[in-house]
Amino acid sequence: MIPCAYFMNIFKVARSIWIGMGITLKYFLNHKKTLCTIQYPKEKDLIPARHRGIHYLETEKCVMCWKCSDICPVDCIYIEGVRGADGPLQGGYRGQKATLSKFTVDYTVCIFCGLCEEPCPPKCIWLGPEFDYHSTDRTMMEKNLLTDEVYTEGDEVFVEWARGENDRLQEEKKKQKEAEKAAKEAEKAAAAAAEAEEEGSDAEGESAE
Amino acid sequence: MLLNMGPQHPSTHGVFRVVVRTDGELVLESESHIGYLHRCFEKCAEGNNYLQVVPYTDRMDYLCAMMNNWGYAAAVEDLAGIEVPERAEYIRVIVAELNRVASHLLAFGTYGLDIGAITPFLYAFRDRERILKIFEKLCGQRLNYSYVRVGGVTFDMTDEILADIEAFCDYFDPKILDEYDNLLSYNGIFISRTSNVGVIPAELAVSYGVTGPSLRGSGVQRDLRRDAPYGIYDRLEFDVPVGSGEMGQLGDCWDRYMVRMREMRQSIRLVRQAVKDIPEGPFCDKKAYRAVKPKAGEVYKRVEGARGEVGFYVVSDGTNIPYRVKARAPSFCNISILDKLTSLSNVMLADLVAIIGSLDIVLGEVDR
Amino acid sequence: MNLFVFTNFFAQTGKDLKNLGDYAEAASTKWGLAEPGVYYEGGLFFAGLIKWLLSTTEVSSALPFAGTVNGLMTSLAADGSIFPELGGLLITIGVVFGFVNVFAIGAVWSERKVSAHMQCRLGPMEVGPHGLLQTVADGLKLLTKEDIIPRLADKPLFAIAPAVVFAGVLMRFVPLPFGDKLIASDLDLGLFFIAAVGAVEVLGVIMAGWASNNKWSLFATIRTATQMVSYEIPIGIAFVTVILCSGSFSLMEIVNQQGGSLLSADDGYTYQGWVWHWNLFRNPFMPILGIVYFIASLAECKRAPFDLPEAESELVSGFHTEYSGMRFALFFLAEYAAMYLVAAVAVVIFLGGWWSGIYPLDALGTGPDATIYTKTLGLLVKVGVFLSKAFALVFVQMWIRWTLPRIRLDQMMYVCWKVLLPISLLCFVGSCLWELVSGGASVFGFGIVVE
Repeated sequence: MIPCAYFMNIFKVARSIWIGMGITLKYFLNHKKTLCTIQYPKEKDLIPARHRGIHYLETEKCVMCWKCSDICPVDCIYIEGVRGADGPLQGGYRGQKATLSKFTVDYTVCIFCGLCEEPCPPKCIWLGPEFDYHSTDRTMMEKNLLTDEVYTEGDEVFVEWARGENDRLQEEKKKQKEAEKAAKEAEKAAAAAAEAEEEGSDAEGESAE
Repeated sequence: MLLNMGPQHPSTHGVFRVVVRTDGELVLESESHIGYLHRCFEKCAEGNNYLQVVPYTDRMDYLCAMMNNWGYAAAVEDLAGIEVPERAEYIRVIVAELNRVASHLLAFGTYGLDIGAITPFLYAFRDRERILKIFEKLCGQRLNYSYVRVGGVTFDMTDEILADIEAFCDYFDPKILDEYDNLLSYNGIFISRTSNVGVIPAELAVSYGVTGPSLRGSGVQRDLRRDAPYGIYDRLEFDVPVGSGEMGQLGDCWDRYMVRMREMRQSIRLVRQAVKDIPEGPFCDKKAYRAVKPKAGEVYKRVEGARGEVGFYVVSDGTNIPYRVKARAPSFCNISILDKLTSLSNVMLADLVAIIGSLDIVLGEVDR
Repeated sequence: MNLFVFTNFFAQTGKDLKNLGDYAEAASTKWGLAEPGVYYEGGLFFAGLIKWLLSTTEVSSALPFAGTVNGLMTSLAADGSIFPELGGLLITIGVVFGFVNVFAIGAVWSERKVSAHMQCRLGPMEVGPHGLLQTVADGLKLLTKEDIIPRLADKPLFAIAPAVVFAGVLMRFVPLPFGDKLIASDLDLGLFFIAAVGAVEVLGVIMAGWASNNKWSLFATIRTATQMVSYEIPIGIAFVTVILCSGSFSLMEIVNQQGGSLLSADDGYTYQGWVWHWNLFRNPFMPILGIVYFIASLAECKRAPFDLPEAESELVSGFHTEYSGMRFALFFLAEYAAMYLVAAVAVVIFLGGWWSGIYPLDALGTGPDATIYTKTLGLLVKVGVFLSKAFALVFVQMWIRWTLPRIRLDQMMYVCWKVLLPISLLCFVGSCLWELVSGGASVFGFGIVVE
């Protein structure tokens, strides 16, 4: 005879499946209330205060102690400059206590551990709320904290030159156009003058006759 | 047929390679190959000072980073004789247990994925997201915290965060956990897939050095928080769930999985107690934190991580750079039992996936 | 009185197609007792539509060759000897193919949305409003992908396998009705044809797995062969039981028996169809058989919890791992077409087909004083009812997929041979006895009363 356990097994499995399906149906019918995702980047979430993202440097306070660079486990902070507020400046920053010519963080290496925040005596380096950044080139992943720009100094110079070039080319084109226009007008005027002369000479000729 | 369950596979929980010799669907023997995620943690630890090693310990078992941090910090504190303030100890318990819940949630979700149920994964991550948001408020990161450091913790826990944690506990236990049980744990198909599969006898588990929920699933009562308490665990009340062969043989996959589900409830219980009793005071021994320079010596300190016993063997030579840091990773010992299991009993290919999932390994820990 | 004249409306070959009203009195067709020429019912409908269009429209004379084109159209319309057999069928199959494509697009979208809503998230939202055009975008992407054939793969088999699978599924749409009289070909052996041609799909899957030259695909192939072939047996027994109770293989006849045909007594049948006249409530074994058929059909479609052939977490993608681009799209299409097919067959044999079970709705467009408009409305209502029932079953299939874990191979064999087969056999024997004892009656009222 068919044992009772066979049917009990079928019944238990069916009941557990039924209960499970009830849970998913409940979520399906209340999906507006149980929704827990947001559509990034149209909607963004709040970033808490202690979020460890990209670094910010308060450059006036920096004393060039190199403590943040030393404590970094992966050595991703590069600092160059001199102490004292009157050092030689080469595309850098002259702060209250130090003159910095380079202060970059390499984000292909940084692990956002936050160890660089504590040893800083004037507490001028901290990790901020920015986290989405990207670049197409490895060299552009070094953030120059002095200027808060993504480009390094060399890139900035190039961009300036490039913009200057563009402006210069535009100016040249405009000048050329004006020159052409002037030349055309001069031609026209010359042609009109020549015609007028002819007519005048004709009229003279006529009147002479 | 010689089959290569290669480093890239949907259900090996990381870069893990198993070469399997099968006869149809039946697995005759298997050979595991690890090392695809080796990042020279121990070599890096020899070149950085005691403070700088903390982020490296995060990335070993990245799913329960707080416990790794705690193990290393406790070892160095033992060596250097640093006293940790009481508030810091309570905070450490809270974050460690919350991290255990988060790690077990991920284990639950991915185990469901391995077995074929896709929805529990999404539910688990919805709840894990709440824990990660709390951690983000607390220390600024969601996965690799570097929060528990030598001498205490990095940031203080504010009242707002404590309120958030209490709200999460009320939301999670018991409603959501009961839902998970109804959806997956007591599902007939799940039970038939995981019970009587991958049975690890207790002596075999102990001899291979298996620890954590995988060991407790075989019925062995062994939990470091109760047997060798560290921190303030001796003041807190909690049960240690142990497998009992409820749905099949003792020590099968279902038992290990159920131990994790029950551990989540106990962790919430611990968090509730710690949040209630947390004292005021300093959260860190700042002086010690700044300049850690233990005397020459060695220490082995172990904590109960989400996957088992996380041990740190630190040797100091008197300078501020450790001479040697060896990490004992629980997943390394847990996964070593896989080859033995496949040769012990009849394992089908689908069962192999279930066994790897139930051992709950993290390859970052296996390879370090 | 005729059931529904509209399909025969245009389907008069060689007659003058100018006055619509003249065809209200056209010959009626009786279901089940049809003559050979009437088999191409649906084909005739569409063929007649085309013929009407051809004979009444004209290409404007401004275009080149207008005169030739017009002449061609008129002559084709007048001499319609080609259309009723070959052309009508081709057109109808074209309509079916179009429906399959549109359904696949809609089904993929709804699967993603259903799964998202069950998992507390949103699903596709970017492409089109609420992501409606997502599947179209996916289809375009797949069309433009590179056609990769592994170097050591068996090229002819690899290339043919998706087509075989898709053809196997598409062929089963031939005897499947979409509404009253809307059918590609009302085969006398409809159900038998559906069950038998399903084997072609198995062949295609095996070809795909073997030709991929990939051990993981081979695993999936072996699993597929066992699964699909085993689960055809409970399905077959369910079919046999329904055929037994209905007395016919033809799907249209099975549906017509479950509803009210509202025919007059001169045909010998009189009954009205309510919900409890559906085959599901015919005798106490039918509900069990319905559940057995549904579970077995899930396994036939390789849907969860029986999706071993494409076990995503073990075998990456199962038998279609090595496929990319349009070949993969064909497999995908075939899967969703099969989902609709088994749902539609379940609706036909158990859930009353296009009868809504509510008398006034069913009676719309029938009767002696029905106008063209009520007849059209009635047709649309019946199509709508059929499609909604089928889509509801497709939703249940999706719901099950996103809830349940996957079953293992030996457990799947256990379920088929030790659970579904005995139960279906018991139901079959019980239905036989029931038919014998009750003389063909159903539980709630009479099934067929021959006066």
